[in-house]
Amino acid sequence: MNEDSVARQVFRDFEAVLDECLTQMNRGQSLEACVAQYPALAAELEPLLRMALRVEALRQDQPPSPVALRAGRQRLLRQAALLRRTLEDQTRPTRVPWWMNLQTLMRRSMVSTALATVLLVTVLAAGTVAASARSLPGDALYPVKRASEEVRLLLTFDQQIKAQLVGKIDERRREEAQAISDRRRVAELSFRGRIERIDGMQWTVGGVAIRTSEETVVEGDLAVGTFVRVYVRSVGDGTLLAMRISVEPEIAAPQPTASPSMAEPTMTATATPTETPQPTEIPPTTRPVQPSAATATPSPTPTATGTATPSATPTEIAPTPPPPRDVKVRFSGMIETITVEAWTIGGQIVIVDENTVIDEEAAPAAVGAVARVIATRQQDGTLLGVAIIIERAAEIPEQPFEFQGLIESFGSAEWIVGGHSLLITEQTVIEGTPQKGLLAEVKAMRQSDGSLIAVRIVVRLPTEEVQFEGVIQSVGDGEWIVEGVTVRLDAETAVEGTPAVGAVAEVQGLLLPDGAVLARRIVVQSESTGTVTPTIA
Amino acid sequence: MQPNEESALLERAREYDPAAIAEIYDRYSVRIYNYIYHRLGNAHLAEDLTASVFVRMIEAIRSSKAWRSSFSGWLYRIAHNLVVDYFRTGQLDKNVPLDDVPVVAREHPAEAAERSLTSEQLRRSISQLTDAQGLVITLKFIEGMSNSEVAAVIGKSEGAVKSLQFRGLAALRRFIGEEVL
Repeated sequence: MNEDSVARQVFRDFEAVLDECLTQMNRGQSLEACVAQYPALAAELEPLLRMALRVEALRQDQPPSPVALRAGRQRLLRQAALLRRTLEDQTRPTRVPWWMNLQTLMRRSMVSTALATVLLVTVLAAGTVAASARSLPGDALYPVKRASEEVRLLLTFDQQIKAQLVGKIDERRREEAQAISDRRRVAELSFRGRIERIDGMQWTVGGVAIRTSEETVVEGDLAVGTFVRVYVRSVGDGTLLAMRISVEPEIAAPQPTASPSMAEPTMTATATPTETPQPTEIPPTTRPVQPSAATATPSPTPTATGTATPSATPTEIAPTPPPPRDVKVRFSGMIETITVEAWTIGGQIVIVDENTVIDEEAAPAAVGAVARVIATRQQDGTLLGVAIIIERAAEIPEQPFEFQGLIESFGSAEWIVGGHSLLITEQTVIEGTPQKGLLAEVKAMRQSDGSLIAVRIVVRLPTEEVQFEGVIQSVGDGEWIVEGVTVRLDAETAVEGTPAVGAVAEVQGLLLPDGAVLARRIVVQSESTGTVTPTIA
Repeated sequence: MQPNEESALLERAREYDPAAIAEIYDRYSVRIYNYIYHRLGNAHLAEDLTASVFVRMIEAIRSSKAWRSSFSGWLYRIAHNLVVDYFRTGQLDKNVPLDDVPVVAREHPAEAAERSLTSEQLRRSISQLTDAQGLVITLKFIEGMSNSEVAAVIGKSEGAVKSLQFRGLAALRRFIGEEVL
């Protein structure tokens, strides 16, 4: 074995000895006893073990605030949502099979349209589309179903038939909503229909029962009879929870034709529902493009966007004016972040400006509080806050809080320990006799308002005894000054003689952590015997 | 949590699945906070840096910098690096008040204040150790992990942990000197 090998072996041995001592100390063995087992290594071992003890002394806990934890969680989830969107953008071209993205193909040219048609026919021949007809959101073939609907709309040039088709597609969406609810699936989708009933939180839209909540984003003025688009989440218990309800511009019924049976009901619309339900987010705010009666230029050629352009024929669908630019939005939710320019409430970013009214009458605005929001959705899709009404203060759950400190004061209802005010209740367990200056170990619960309710207080008596004598400088209620030393008296303190300023007293007691002495026995002498330095017994 | 359960959870987190990410945060945030709090002795700083650890985690979760053997070890490593950066950039100014140091029985307040000062000195010294030494010293002596737990977190053998703890303690002794021992 060469010198290097020997040195390495010595190190390994020492590391093993050090680790063994640390393990023993962890089990309660004293440092001295551990070192005594290895006298030859004591000089090296002992300082390292002491260093380990010093590092261990850093182990003091203070629980994080729940508000900070929640804010950190929100920050993380927002960042994750951003990254997820980026990822989806990057992967989208490879995720969607080229044959399903026919609309894109068809936008490119008429040649492509023909090609797409051929492809669709091929797909039809394969039976895929037929098989997808009964699919529901969440099924593998559901995108095929949606794609085939788009293709059919694009290839339908007769506006009357197109209107009928849109009506059927709307109806199909409503049936799908009902089906995923009945089958207790967890999925999201949107559908359109007329509000038929508003009964508190229970609404019926287009024959489909939905449930709204305070978190439901409501865009526009809604009433029975309003034609709306509803974004719902089937939560798996048969409930369709409305995440957002927005007014859809009313589309007039097509003009009657020679064939009355072809006339569509008034809720017919020409828009193509193209949005794909997002699994975790409220769908984007963009609505299907609607033709405008006031501005549309009649054109006999159908556009490739899926939007019906009014034709010059009597059977054209009369488009309606565009929706108002700024739509009123109302919703409630928890305040997640507050900055000078924008607040995040219930997952929605609300821009605030000097005109935004912040109503803090019921509760202060703070992260975690619940607020009702009235805002306008601007042209760029952002929400501008009109009013933010704080309805409920932030709820901070009870948090256990343990600490130890000197008793500064104590009463029947409140103690102050180590600077913390503690509320004493009938349930508070107190062990030991409290005395100002004694050390107390406290277990408490921090309430939502920050107050501390004491659960258990253990008063620790010091064990270090002192004895001294000196001139009494002051005599107070429960506290004397003897030779510059604060002497505290309690029910167990025995006093012999008559206390008086200037008299000499012999004090026996316990040294408190704050330097005062808790007297157990005081003997007041008749004459001064001069200054005596306190001595530790 | 079983290893395969955690593996599935992490796989979902790689796809930025919010439920998985929230679960990871709920599972590890307090542990990471405690780690940072023990290193800095300041609750507000620890809360801020804890949030930063998880943001860094999500930003790197799909990259080659992500964990290979131990996810929790990776998180601790991110936390460790943030703490070290904090000390190195001098942001933890001496004027930043450290949280109250609990007074232990029979200790005079003046002694507690002195202890606070040496604690601060010790924390700075830990940040001067090598990354591996700093992690081992913190996880073992402050977080109270066993050798095998530390080994699992840092992805090394127990023998390596023993060696790192020896070298770490010896380095601390050199940094601080014997007067505080």
